[in-house]
Amino acid sequence: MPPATAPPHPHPIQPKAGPRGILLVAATELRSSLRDRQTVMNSVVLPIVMYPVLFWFILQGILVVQGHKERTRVEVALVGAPEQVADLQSRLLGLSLPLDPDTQTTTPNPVDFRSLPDGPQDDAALRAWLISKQHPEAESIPDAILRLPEGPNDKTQLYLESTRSGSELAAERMRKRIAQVAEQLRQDAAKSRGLTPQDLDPLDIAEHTITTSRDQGAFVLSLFLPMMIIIMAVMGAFFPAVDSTAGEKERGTAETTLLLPIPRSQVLLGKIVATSALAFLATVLNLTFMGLAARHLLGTLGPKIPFRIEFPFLALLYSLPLVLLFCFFVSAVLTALAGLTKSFKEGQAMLGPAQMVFILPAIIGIMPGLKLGLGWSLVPVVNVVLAVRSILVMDWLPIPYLLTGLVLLVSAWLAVRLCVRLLSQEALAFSGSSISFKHLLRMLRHAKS
Amino acid sequence: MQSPESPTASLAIEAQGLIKTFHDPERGEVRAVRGLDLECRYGEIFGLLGPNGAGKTTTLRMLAGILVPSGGHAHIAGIDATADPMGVRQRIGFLSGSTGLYPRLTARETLRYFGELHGIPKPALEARIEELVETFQLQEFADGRCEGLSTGQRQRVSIARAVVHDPDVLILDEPTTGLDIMAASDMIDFIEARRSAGRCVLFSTHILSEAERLCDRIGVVHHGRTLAVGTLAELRAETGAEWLGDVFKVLVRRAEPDPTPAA
Repeated sequence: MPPATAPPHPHPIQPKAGPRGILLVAATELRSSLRDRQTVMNSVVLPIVMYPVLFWFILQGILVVQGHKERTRVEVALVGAPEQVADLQSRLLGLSLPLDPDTQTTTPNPVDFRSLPDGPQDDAALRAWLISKQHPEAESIPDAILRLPEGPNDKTQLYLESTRSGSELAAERMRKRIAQVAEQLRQDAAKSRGLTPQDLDPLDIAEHTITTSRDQGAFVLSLFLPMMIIIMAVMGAFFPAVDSTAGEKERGTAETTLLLPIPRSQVLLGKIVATSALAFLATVLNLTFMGLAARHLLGTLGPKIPFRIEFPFLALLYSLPLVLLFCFFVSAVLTALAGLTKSFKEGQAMLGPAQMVFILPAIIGIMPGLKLGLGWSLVPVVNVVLAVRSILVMDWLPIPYLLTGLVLLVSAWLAVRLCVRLLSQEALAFSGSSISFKHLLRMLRHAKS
Repeated sequence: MQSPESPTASLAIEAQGLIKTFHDPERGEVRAVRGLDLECRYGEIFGLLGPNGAGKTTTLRMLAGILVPSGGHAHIAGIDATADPMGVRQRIGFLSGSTGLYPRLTARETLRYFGELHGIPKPALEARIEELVETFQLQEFADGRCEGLSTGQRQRVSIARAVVHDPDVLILDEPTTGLDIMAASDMIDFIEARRSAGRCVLFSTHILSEAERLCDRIGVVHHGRTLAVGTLAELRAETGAEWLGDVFKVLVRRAEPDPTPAA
């Protein structure tokens, strides 16, 4: 005779619903994601390795190009009256070249001068010679030609071919040298007339910027770093969002998850929390290693850039609460969208263009002249970019910052509601069917979460 | 929610007029289950028999709290499956071909995850996990990721996962499909052990010999409706057929008379 009721359980059934259940789901999702090679590559390895490697290549590239440029010999033909050419050539050869600030040695930048007092004088012939046609008295084509003035009202002409790097280089070197010679001539002329060089330049202006080089660096960073943070967060949420929804259907574990003894809204919230955590981790790692790599790069290039850039770790630390809220918002939206698909491939195809929903407003946010005010604080994504930008230059805007945080919180909450409303649908919970837009709208209207 | 005075509290599963309709983009409204009745008791093995597309899996999913019924009602361990599907999920163990294991978790982590969500206190859970590891002989692979397990090993872990909280009702959808002889035999032993422990087991199967050997009662389902319910002896008496296969054919023919007209 079977029993009328089930035998008693050794322990009371009290499922772990509520925040503890959400955290348990999130922790399990995180553990699972961090064991996935693709997610680890995207969220951990790439942020650590990408910027140091990228910056190392940039640095090596700059050094190689610069070294090569400095060693390259160029040839400039001097054309004009013989005594004029001889005078200019002797002045050019007598110039003291500037010292390299790093090595305290004379920068090579060699220029070979070839004087052709009897060469072609007319414009067309000089142009033809520079392009390709061999001059009968010259052995080769020069990189640039300097034609000296014939009369007192004529100008000195510099001919170059802009599509040839050697020609550009020759012109650049000649401009500097000619400027030095011109200064010498000016000083000689002043001296012969009993004037001082200051008499020739009565309104000599000395500029004084009150911005420190450090603030100038922060300003430069504030123009692009906020947009990069948005891109980092979106990219960081991409794989975990697809993996925890479409990936789950593909792996055949969607029904197993539906069996979890806590409300489905909490299961989804746990997934979103895990995705947010990975997006945040990827963003923080990206920023940290970009900062370290940038510090090394800037340290190496230091004297060659006009301002001092220090990576603003402290300002970024202040930005982190907003970045965290943004990660949560992005994760909820991407999880909801990826949940509409039935395979990893479909999920990636869906989220690829969807990323633009975040990246395009971020581009608006870096436009010069925009400032975080009450109006912009109400526009999600743009508000984060402008807020981070203001924090980087240490602008203290308490009300807009607070409003930005609130708007992000409300946006995140709405995105979570949308995610729960969509993904609680039976038609989406199982992998078999594709959802039309019409069907999707109908589900949103009638959904019970 | 479960209430002591519920008239169905003494039944492990009670379903009346259960209906499930789906919206299919191509076929429109599809009625997968059309008024199915079912009663299962504690300490009983109940077999659900029917051809492909009969609505067995949909029925089991509704009873497991995975799908919400479109009509009718179902009580599992006294809990209304429509009003409180989460309460149902807390009371049942469910296993089907589509309840895969999380590939990146180990067997032990899977059991701990489900056990913790069911709210089993930590010391009791660890003891329960060890008990299940021993019962289902998971020792050799309990700490390896599930993605590396063989089909038979996965099935053993899946069963352990389904019963980690010692559910009142165990619902199995074709549990021996794809298993080798040894694994299928272990599964049959396990189902019998649940009955001996006073729990209810509801399972669907294609394999008639399994149903004959295991089931206390059998329900024959066709086109989303229950055609007959009874012990094997009762079904034989009702249809006049000896073998379960023939019993099944007679019942289906009765439900669907031969469409070819008499000469």
